[in-house]
Amino acid sequence: MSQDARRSMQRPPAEVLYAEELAKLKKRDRDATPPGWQLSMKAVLQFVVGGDGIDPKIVCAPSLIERALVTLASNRALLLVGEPGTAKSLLSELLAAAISGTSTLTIQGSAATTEDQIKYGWNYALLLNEGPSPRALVASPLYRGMQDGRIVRFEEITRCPPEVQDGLLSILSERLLMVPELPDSNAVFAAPGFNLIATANTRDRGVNEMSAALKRRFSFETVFPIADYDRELALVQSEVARMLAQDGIKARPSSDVLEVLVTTFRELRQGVDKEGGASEKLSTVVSTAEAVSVAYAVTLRGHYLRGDAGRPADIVEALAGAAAKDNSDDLKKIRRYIEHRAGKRKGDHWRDFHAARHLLPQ
Amino acid sequence: MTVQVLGIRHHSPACARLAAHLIETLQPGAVLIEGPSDFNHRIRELLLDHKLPIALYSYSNSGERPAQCWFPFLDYSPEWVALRAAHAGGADVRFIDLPHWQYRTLPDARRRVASVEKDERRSRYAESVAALCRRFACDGDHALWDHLFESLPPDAHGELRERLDFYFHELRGDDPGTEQDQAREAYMSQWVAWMRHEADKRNDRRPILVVCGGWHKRPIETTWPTLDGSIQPETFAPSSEHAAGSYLVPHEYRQVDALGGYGAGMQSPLFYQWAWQEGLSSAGQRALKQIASRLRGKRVAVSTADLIALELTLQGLSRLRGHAVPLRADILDAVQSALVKEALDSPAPWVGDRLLTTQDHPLLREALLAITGEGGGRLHADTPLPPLLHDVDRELTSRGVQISRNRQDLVLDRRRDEDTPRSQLLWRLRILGVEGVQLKEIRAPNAARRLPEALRFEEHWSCTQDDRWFPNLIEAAAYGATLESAARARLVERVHEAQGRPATIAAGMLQAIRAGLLDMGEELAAQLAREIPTMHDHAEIAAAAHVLLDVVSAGFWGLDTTGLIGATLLVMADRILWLLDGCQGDRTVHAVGDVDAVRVFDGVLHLDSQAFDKRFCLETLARLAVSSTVPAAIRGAALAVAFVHQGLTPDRAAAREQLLAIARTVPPREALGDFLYGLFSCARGVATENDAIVRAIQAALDSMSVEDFLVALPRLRAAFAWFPPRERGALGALVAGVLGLSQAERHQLLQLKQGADAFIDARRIEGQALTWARELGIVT
Repeated sequence: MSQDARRSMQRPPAEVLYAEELAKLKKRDRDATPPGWQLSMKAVLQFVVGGDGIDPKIVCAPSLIERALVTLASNRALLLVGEPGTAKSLLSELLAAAISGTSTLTIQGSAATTEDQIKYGWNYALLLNEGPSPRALVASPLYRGMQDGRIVRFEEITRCPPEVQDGLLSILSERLLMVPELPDSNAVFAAPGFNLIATANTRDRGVNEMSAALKRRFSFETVFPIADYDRELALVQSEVARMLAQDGIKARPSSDVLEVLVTTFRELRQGVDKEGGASEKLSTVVSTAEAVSVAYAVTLRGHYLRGDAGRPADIVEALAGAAAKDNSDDLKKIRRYIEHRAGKRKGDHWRDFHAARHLLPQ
Repeated sequence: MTVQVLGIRHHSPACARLAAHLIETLQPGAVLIEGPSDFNHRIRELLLDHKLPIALYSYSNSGERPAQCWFPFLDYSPEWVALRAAHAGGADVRFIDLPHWQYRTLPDARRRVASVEKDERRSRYAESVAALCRRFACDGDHALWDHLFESLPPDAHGELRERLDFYFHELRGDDPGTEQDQAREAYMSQWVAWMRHEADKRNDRRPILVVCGGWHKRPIETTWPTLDGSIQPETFAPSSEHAAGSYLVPHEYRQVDALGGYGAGMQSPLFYQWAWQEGLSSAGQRALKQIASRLRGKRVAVSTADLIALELTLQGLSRLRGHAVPLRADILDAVQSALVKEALDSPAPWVGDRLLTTQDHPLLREALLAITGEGGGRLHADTPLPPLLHDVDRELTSRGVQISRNRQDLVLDRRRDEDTPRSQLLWRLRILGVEGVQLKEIRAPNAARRLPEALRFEEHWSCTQDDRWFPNLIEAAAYGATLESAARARLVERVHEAQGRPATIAAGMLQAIRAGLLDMGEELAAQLAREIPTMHDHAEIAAAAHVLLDVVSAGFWGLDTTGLIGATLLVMADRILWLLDGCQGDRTVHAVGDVDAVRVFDGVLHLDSQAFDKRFCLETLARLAVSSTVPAAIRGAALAVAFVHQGLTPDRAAAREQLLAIARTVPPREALGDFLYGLFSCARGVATENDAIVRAIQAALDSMSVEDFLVALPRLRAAFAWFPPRERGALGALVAGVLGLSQAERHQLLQLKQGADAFIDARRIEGQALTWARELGIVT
């Protein structure tokens, strides 16, 4: 896909965004490729964690990706669980793009998801006109994935009602989707290469609602927040730079702003400050993804409203919106955090951050 | 090459194989091993037929606290293999490091922290390992090591040595290391230079092999040729058996697991034991089997389908990672992938350097424990033991206690003369933390059941010479050469560790009494005197002091404990007096503790110790009694103690007048109850010997309104709870006299009109009300 076509999309999918890298990997790939896969496991691993001229795309333990790949090549599906904002969806997108060449066969799970959306629906005009026929059938992403032997993504699977989730049971174990309405050729057998990557949040009490039968068909992988401060800082920096470049903005957040932001987010997330003292964890999520969006917002604010690149004080306001949301307890914790921790830290940027504490909503 | 340095990782089977191979092929004249050089003259102890794991245990008593460390050997420890192979090949074997008691021993508290904290000074090490982990897509140190080294075929010696050299070269680079590293490397290099020099003098051209941690390889290699080989390295010997020493002890697998806190260890020692004995592939099979059966034993449903999934995942993972045979991390990752069916709270414990905790997912914990290994080694019977063990043996024989491998239960009665020495012996062992000697309970049966806990006499023991018997005793040898001195030192340390917790100090005293260490009084009192300025709760000190007062006033079954406890009690009493003097304001909720604190002086004054400044104490109490800012309960109790011990005016009648005068000044509504509660705690006699007090109280009650009375009632009631039934009867008679009642009315005063049911009912209602009050947070 040309550069222009890429630019015409607000958010190009991974297979488009990294088309060159995927082509490069395919060209030099000499290892055995699992049936139906575009790349070998080693090449997929390299695509995700980087190395040898390939950019790393995600910060996580390599063993996580290795286990995920082995699972996807087996007859079990993969379930990525973890706190919101730990890049589960990004990981599933990258894996699908590298393994099947497409990451768009996606089902978005929600309370309103029905079995039709998972399996197939009908074009009712055609159905009434010519009866059940392959032409009248509207295939779901899962249906197409099985037919073509590709990876299908199921986002937020545990937000679906359990009975809808259980519709996956026979698909995952028999690898077979029946369409009883059709007079003949009414079974879709999954082609080699088909598998499912589902994601679920540990926060929305969803995982508990999955039936034991379905759990058995999944291999669970927990995705953790980034453990290393420097790597998280670097990631926030590069992601914000990427987003700003996309908007054509030259300004970049200063290292002071990023230090305050990433430190604050990490400490509020872990409940331990960098000196090892205990502070308080927020009940809501303060993920790296949220840190990126706050850094982005702070820079935009500076750029458009004042003509600078954002100040530590701007973070205070953004924090209230991004982290505390409408939880007054969390707001109190943030206030105490800024009073006690930030107030004691050295440096003008921390002082600026501390001085702006009155900007928190009362 | 005249000297070859083999850099190893401690407890790596691959390095052990390489060491054996080098000794076999090079036929070195000497093998120098990184181990404590002070142990050289006893190195034969290591050549006995021990069952591993064992450890070389070192202790030192140079600092404030005893310090200790362990240097473990497993069948596959390169140092161990090198030592045995070199000896078998007729080479001269030496340890060349500084004595462990000189640099490696740490006090317990420090060691607990040291095992998890990262050594900041070795930052290059961490950076290099992180870079290699990224390069080879490994999660951490342990996975990387296995991937690079343990995965090599057993006979790839050349390849392994090349990789090791390159790896350790990269790790150390030009990092000067810590000061301790430098001192040790200089010392080890001096040994190498000297040994080479000596061999050359003998015209012995055989090579010398040095086996040391990879971190030290490069500095030793570059330093030794620059040193003067004619200088013999200094040898170190401890100034006495007590100051420092080293002994072999049996060790357990869990103690050598890095996940259990042994910093220099590998994770999962049992797995590597299998790998050493039978090869990696068999170790993998055994690990899977062991994990599955352990999980099933713990009632985790591991189905056949799960096991198939596990096996498939394992094959897939090891192929993807390029391992011909599955490695440890592959197995554990496969277990995680195939068996865990929920989100984890933290990354798997084998990733990175940390300890296994109860926070980890139970399934992963069990899987890890399955390949950590249970049980431990055994020393050969001829291994020398520290003098403490001989002393314990002697004591056991002379006091007629037999402790065998079979568990036996003993009931010892402290009232019997023949049981006392045996009990004292067991107490001393218990103080040393010998796990085979367990005190199950101390009873005082039948009529004696009301005895204070400290004085109970029937001790129920359970004794067995279990697997930890020798390790416990050898490790306790750090404290002393005889059972008595070791127990004493341990007890003093424990009191020190209490850091101003009076209850622990009192418990330590009681243990000293039971263990017959009656001459420790001065030592413990001095210790306490140092700690006591940090104690700020007089009630807590008082609680401990009352326990000791019970023992000292009654004596402990024929033992005079005044010498042991007296000094400590005086230190406590001094502190309480100091703290009481600072009490002000309304402390009704603390009245019980306050009065208990003052009551301590009643006990201490009864002891009539020469060392106690009786006059000062009584003067202070008398001052407190008249001060209107002091809480009423303390005033009452202080007044009582001063009165009883003639601390007011010398004349008895005048003193009583003074007491009455003070009592009349107490505000009836707010303070009278507390005041009387304090007063009657030590001086019940004043209420019953004539009707003056009763009249005074009557006058106070008359002046109160009904509401005032209701406010004062609970505390007044508590005050009269001190009186036993007979004295209540006497009080009733006095009250009747004051009120001018007839004989019949007087009789009624002491009778419960409503009967027991109403009383029980009232108790129930009161209990319920209290429960509600507690739920509402009104009372605590």
